[in-house]
Amino acid sequence: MSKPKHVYEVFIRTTPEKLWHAITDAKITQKYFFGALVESDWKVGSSYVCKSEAGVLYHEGKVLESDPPKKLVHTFAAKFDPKMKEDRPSRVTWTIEPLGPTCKLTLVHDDFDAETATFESVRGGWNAVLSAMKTWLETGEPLVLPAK
Amino acid sequence: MDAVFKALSDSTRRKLLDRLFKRDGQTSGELCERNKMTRFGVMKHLGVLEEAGLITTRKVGREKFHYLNPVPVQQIADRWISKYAAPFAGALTALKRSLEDPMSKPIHVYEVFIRTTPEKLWQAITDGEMTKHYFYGSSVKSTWKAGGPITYHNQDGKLLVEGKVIVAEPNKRLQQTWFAAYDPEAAGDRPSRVTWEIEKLGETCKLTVTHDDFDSETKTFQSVARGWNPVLSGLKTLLETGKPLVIASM
Repeated sequence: MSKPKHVYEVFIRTTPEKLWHAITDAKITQKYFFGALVESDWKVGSSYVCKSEAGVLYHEGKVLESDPPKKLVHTFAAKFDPKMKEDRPSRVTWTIEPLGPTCKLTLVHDDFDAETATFESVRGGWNAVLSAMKTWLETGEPLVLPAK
Repeated sequence: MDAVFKALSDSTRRKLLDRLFKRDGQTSGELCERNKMTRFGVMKHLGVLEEAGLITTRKVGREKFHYLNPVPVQQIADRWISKYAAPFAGALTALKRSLEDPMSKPIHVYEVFIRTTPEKLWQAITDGEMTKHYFYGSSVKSTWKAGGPITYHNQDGKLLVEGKVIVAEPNKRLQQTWFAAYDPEAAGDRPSRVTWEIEKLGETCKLTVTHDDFDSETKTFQSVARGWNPVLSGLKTLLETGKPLVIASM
């Protein structure tokens, strides 16, 4: 029985370097990631946090692999919902592949014990985040999604 | 919400909240202690906090007890946090429903958020001049009536996909059957089903594409699995930038 896993592929008109920055630079994540800031030196073994401008912690983890601007692997512990605090950290892998003037970004979110609360919750969330990232990189403007 | 911000704008009132945070349920007398203000001044500040809903009170005999009410502060936080929490606390897709069904059949579900209107998105899905810029160079053609044919031909006139319209509800929903004529190996598969759903979210549209009604993990199921991703990325780029997305061969 295969373990639960989410796989997303997005094709973005950008360079691998710009895409790497969009994933790792708080100044950029803030623009598209619904105001969230990421903080880390992105070195293997370092920790990272993703939080709101007001400092509310969304998720955090440790960097497992870092090969700019190609591949980034980190653990993912969701903190935005009390239901998910019980879940052991899962794993997120970002892979960047240049295809002419476009980059293919593959995001794999796996290493879940089962279909946990985190697994269910991030399913649609990554779609929104990746759509917003693509819009930002291609148009320089944020994608606005209304609050529920 | 104005009353909450006004109540929080004063440092004495914030200190009173701090003291209640340290120990909830204090009397007016206790809150007046160690306060340089007159009792009257403190009572006035407590009145402002209560009016804003930041504290609640309970009278027992001649004593009045004060309690913190976190709800208005929570609402302030939600107002800016939920934008993020909403996507991540996320809408469950058809995939979830399918997984809960023990007899579930193979299904692909894709979601993409596009800065556009439902009308423009519908046009991009149904106009052959537009589909050729993101759908493997193919132009769609149909009467867009239930039961009518729907075809995708590339610019050399080769048939890539054919099917029938099941439901065509402009700007909302298109459902069609799907026969993969582009793949000789999939010729033995009976037509599957593709559903396009458009949902308006403010100035953005959420497009959900569900590809299902496969008998098993057929050749068609396998070949479209990753095939939809460049199509949907290209559709989004075309609508948001007006230019096609160029993807070098993989």
